[in-house]
Amino acid sequence: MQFDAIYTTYEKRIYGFLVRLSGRRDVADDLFQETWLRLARHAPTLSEDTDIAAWLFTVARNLYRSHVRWSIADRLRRRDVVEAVTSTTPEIDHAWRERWQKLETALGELPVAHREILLLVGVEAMEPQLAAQVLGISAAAARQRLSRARAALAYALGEEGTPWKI
Amino acid sequence: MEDLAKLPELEPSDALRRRTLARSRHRLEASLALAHRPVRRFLVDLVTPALVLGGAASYLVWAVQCCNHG
Repeated sequence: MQFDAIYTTYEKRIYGFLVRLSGRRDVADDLFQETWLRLARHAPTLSEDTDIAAWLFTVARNLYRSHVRWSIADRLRRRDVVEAVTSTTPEIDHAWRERWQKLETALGELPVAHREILLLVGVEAMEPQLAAQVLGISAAAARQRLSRARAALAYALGEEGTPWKI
Repeated sequence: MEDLAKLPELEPSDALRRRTLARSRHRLEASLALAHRPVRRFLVDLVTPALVLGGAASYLVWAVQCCNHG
């Protein structure tokens, strides 16, 4: 079944995107499930040339945006992504763990607009043009936002002025 | 972007995976069945919103009448 193949291909990417975007496993769980239900509902109407990756990330991102709009309490709660991630992967080396925790924390403290473009381009290795499509902005605006997001992340990491490695 | 690309993959729990797949497959079957029934699809796409709007309009008329009477 084609749906299962798509699920297997994008499961971790969509889940990781939602966990890091929301900073909350419980929220990500709900939005993850709803993203796949949306695909199941719209599958018969999608054309052959639909870019499934862009479609799924757009739906996931819009669901998160909608969730934030309606849930003020969530914005006040602590992000638990770093703890959740590090507690499930004990085998990594100490230096990288520290760097990684810093990175996750810094990502979580950025405004959503910066966080989402860094997740799409930096973590998901999506072309900026495709990321622009997911975010519903022009390619030029996406490039500008990406540049600002990189600078904001470098600042949050205390690496302002160092060669960009993020 | 090097370090961001090295962030570990996160995966859903087995329970979430099972639940998501089960519900999605069920929804997919329903969507496919609906897509193959044009008349029913027409009813769902057009008549249902019309009924909802009609219901809302009736409620508004009723509310205005209530206000007028006191």
